[in-house]
Amino acid sequence: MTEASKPHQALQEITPEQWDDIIDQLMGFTFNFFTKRLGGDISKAQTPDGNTFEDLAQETVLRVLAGSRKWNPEKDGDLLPYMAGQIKSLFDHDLKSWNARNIESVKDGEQIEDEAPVAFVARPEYTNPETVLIDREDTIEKDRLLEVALEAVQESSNEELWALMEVYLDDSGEYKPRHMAKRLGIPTTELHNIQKRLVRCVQKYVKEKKS
Amino acid sequence: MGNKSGENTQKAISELEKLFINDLIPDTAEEARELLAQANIDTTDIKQRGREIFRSILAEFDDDWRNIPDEEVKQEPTHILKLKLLESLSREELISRIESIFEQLAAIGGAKAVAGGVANRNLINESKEDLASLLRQLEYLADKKDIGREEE
Repeated sequence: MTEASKPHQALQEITPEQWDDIIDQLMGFTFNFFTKRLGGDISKAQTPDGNTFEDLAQETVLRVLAGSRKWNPEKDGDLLPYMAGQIKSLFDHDLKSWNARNIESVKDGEQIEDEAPVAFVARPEYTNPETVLIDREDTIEKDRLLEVALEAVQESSNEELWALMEVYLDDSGEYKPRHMAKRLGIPTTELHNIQKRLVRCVQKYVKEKKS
Repeated sequence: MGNKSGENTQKAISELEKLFINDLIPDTAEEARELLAQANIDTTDIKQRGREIFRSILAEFDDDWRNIPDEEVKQEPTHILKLKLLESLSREELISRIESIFEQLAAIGGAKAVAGGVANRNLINESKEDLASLLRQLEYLADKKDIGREEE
């Protein structure tokens, strides 16, 4: 099996009905992502390069289906989280290129900056690719995420969350769900539930720290 | 954080960040549709375009049963008669025949798509009408490929 054929063969195992569901969930994700990052009227909101949430969702679908993003289920896991990661990647790329153009214009001593679309709501802490959106109101610097997650779990004294953090902290560097679940001695579905609880735990911790 | 290398720390951070990104994915398609409907967002166009691209990619595999347009099968003069005959079969017989044709299609080489397609369908959960319709499509494909099959 060549590398190029993998995405196609994996996609073949998806039925048209499943595909429709995936598109709806991807659109739902992109909507949520834009809501958090940009706020305002999401149907009109745009990235600095003028992409709406529909543009990014469509671009991702095209890239994945056309194989330019080589989705490999063995390596990349499920299709939907993979595509969600691609949306974030496109969004961050858009922001970075806009930032770079602005920095460049300052370097050249020019005062004129790129004009972001009117609908682009400038909320630096939410649009900075180096920050992680914890929830709708809170962000933290990406470099501090591990530290903050550890503090949150420590404070919660929750053993299953602590066991999960130990998996993130060991040196294997292996994060495929089935491997993580095996290390924890639990089914993959339960791993997903514990990961969700970890997210809630960190969100709660960050919120409490802020108030 | 122990003696975890800087590279592994960055990887762990990225993996943790993914949890917060994935948390934004609606748990079900129904939840997603409800969310989008509340925001008055219509996904008909993107779904349609996605479907077209999806189908065009599947079309690269000409032996995939999903690429046989329904209309093409229905236009066969004897279609209704053949379908009626199939509908008179028991569920067990329909499933047995479907599996048999899939095996034959898979055996002719380059037909992994077909084998993958049936493996992904839980035939036991399909209605009798759907089983008959699927078998009808497969028999049509088998005829096109000159694959011998049991006499009806």
